Amino acid sequence: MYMRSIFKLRQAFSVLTKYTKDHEWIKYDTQSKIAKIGITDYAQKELGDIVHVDFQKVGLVFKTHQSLGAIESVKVAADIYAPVAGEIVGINEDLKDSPNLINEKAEETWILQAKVQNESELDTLLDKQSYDKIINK
Amino acid sequence: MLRSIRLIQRVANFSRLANPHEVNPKVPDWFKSSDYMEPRFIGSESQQVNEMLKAVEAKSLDELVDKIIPKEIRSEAAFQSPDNFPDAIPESAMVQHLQSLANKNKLYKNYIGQGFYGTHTPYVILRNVLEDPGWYTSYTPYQAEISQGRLEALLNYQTVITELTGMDVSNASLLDEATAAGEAMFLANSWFEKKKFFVDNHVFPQSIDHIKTKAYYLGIDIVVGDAKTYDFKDADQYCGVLVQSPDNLGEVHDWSDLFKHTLKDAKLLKVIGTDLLSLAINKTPKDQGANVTYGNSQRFGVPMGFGGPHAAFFAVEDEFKRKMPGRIIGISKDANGKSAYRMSLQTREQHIRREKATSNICTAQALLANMAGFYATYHGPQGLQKIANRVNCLARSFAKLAKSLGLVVKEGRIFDTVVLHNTETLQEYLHYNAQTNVRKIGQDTIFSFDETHTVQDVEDLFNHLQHYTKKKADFMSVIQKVIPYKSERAPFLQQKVFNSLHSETEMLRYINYLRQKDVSLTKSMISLGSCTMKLNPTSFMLPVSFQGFSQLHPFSPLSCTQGYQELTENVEKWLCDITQLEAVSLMPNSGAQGEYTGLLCIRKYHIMNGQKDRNICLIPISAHGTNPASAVLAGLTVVPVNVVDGYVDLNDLNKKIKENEKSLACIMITYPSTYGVYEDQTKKIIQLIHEHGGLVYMDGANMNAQVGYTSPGYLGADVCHLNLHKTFSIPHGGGGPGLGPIAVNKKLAPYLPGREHSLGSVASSLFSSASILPIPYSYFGQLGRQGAKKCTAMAMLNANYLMKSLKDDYKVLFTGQNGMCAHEFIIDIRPIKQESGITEEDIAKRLMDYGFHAPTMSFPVPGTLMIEPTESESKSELDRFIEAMKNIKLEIEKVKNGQYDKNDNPLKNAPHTQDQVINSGWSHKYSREEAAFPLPYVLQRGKVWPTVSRINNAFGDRNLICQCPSVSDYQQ
Repeated sequence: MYMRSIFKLRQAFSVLTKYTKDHEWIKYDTQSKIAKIGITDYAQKELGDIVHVDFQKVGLVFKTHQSLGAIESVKVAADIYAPVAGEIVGINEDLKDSPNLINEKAEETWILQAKVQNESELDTLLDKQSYDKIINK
Repeated sequence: MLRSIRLIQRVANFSRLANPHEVNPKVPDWFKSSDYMEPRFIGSESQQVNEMLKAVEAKSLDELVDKIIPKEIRSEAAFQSPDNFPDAIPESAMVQHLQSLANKNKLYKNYIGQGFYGTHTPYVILRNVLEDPGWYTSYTPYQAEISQGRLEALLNYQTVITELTGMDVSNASLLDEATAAGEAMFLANSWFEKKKFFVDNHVFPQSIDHIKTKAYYLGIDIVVGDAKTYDFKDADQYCGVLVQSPDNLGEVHDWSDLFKHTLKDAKLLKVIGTDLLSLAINKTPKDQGANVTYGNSQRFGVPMGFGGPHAAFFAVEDEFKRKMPGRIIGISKDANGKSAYRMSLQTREQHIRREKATSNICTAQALLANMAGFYATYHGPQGLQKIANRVNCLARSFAKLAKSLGLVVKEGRIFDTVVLHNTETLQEYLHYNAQTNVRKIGQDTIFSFDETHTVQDVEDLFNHLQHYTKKKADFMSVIQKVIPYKSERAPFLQQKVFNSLHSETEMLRYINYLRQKDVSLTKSMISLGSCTMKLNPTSFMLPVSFQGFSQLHPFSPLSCTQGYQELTENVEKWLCDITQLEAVSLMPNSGAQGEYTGLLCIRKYHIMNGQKDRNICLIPISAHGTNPASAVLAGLTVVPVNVVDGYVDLNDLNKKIKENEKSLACIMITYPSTYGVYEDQTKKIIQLIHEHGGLVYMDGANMNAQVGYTSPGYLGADVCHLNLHKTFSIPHGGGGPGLGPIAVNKKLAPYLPGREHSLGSVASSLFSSASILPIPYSYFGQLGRQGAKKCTAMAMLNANYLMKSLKDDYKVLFTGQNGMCAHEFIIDIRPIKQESGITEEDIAKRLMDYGFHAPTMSFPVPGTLMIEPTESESKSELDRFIEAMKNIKLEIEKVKNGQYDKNDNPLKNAPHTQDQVINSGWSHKYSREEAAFPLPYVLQRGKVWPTVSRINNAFGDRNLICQCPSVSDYQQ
């Protein structure tokens, strides 16, 4: 019983990290209920030198898999797909002048912040292990 | 204003042009003319042809074609009789014939205006740019390291536009003014996501026509009204407001009040259409509060050409640059840190963004933009101001003179255009009595003045007016009273390049200095797959400059355009014959515009048949990026269809058809496919689409592999476009002009522009770039049935010979029946990359060290090169290319087995510049000889030096600079 509540507590204050097969990551803060969304290091390498991030507007209510903007390298423009449904509450302004931050630290550079509509939808996403399996196939 | 009606007349019987003795089989061959085009057009002579046939294991060209093209798709109906397609006539006879056609166009004194004006093309520019193959035979500058000359010229052009308009960023041209206005509307719609757009009723009618057409198919509501009096209480509903100054009636407006006050906080795009020359003395669009400005740069030294080609401009405030249509040239750095030009922000464009692109445009008007840029360079800011003032003074003198005769002149500030009220019969009077063409709207007669007019012209007009009004007044006293306006402009074009090249010697050297930097067809084969860089014969080009073709205003009365009527009717007829389709429209100004027009035709057909909900467009994933981009602009929804091993996946196609049974509008297919094979299932696909109520759009990009052997009509297509700049020898101009007419079957014919149920308007004038039509005309006439067909076969022979010669070194990705390719083939560089780290880009750049332009990179398959030699290259040139490619393969082997360093090798560091190689600090792990002279021929032929090393693309896109450096930058 004691152990269980400790576990619950830990979970309550933790950040849950999940992945999509489209190479986005989502880090969900269970306390603030806000998620940060970015792209994986693998995606960053595939795109090459990133030169611009095209954001959607703050306040956009989005469905799962809707485009939340695009990341542009010199030769490719890749959509950022919503891992879950929600609402955009913030965008990473630093990326406007330094889009290369994604190349440098993809897993730590968030692109946008979102309110998640339905927490349970996170369960449908991949954990690190399953994502790694996909990219190493 | 578009002339939809033509004089009904018999089409000139072209076959009669051939001298009867020339085509009489009874006359022995040795009597025939010595100047036929066919043997000149085809690169190889018969012995070389035989050697290549042997290499590809075919006994004859006919047998080769039988091996390549599946029987079920062969049809030679188009080529059976001289009644529908001519016999070849000799080069000299064709030039004479075209001169006589040009002479049938009557060059009356022209004051028509409305977006097209007379201009003096400086002869140094005419001969050394427009008529110079170093400029006109190069391709779009994708390979920037060997394109620095025209990239610099295009950057100058962009600077001219931004300096004159006051805007932050200009692109490197659009097709014409009307489509530029349409692009502005589309930008407004996609930026502000609203479906209503306001257009001032004094915008040029051709622009309004096109805006309405474009809006109709996208479901955008166009409100045309008087922006001066409209109250804009409902401004929030609009995504944009588009006005013009000087307007259709010549009035110069200051839109500051509307844009900076009335609409200050409105969430909409503020667009001003304008006249470039007027901006040398008038307030800029930027100062009037515009977000976007557009117009035509034709009067900067580009002949009117009965409508084109010329370059439209489009410039925006910084905020909108990533949504701008068209190519943008920017400055970046090369591997050595040296400043270098390149095409920037390409992710906006169709070849990357596909259905999400900002526009479908790819071919623009590079050659003409360069002419306009050189014109501004040659005249400089003072010169431009002088021309603008002169034109303005001529117009104002004329207005005063007309007033002095008691005529009522429209009030308001003018630049170059004068409106005389209540002169209903004046247009006719001047046409018949003074051989002078002017514009007429209702009771008003309109005169537009330009650089070519003189005081004498004004006096002549005045004398006619005296006669017409039966009144007298004094000429000289009026003339002496007109003085130039005080300029409203801050100093502009202060950069060095616009202030140091005003003598002809300096100008000539600058033009040649730039030209020498580029690889065009004058230097080597350009084997760009899908681009068809074939010969652009000099005798085809010559008539483009004939005065009768180049100096005619597109809205001239029919009685003055007889020569063009015969020319266009013949071109239309022959295109019908070649495609085996019913009717042709010459209006689309580029391949992409052809796709767009063809799709509008399909949409209009469904709408007229009560099936407006048919809006699904199936597109195989192998299609060119323009296909989905054009489909979206036509208001269609794109559904991609899979491709397996180079062939359309029939299972997936069936599935997508079933899923969209009720809403299927059409499929877009390319034939032969973009993978360079003649699919044998095409007829089946076409039948399937038809059975489900859809229509078939055939992309004509590869028409050069059909001519004479099969046709879109025979295969069952309903509509196709034709890239006259690929198949029919119009040169690529370093990125335009192009022409993309469409051919349609009987079902779709009524919907062509200008016909009964016209789909609308897709260009500024009915024949858009009419003055380059003598080129395809010459192609048909000089090559004739036999020659045109032989070109197709030779293109296949050259491609297969190249493929056979390279297949042991490089993996060939797809082949058709009997292991043969069509007119092009793809080599796969991905396995090489995996083994050695060498990429398709490394090979492309390394080819520059060998003096070659690279084949097409990563289209239609990423990590590949697509090679298309065309029929115009000789076996010896192909052998030189083979030698280069084989040697590059040896270099790759050296990287693989460690003889070369993985990173410091001739491939990764390619291309090598002269200053790198002669630098005494050379420290690479290979020799300078290996770097710059990898094969003996490179030295023997004369080295073609790339002028910059590998360009840093990311730096350029992250630090966008698209104008010439300012004076202060030079001083630093």
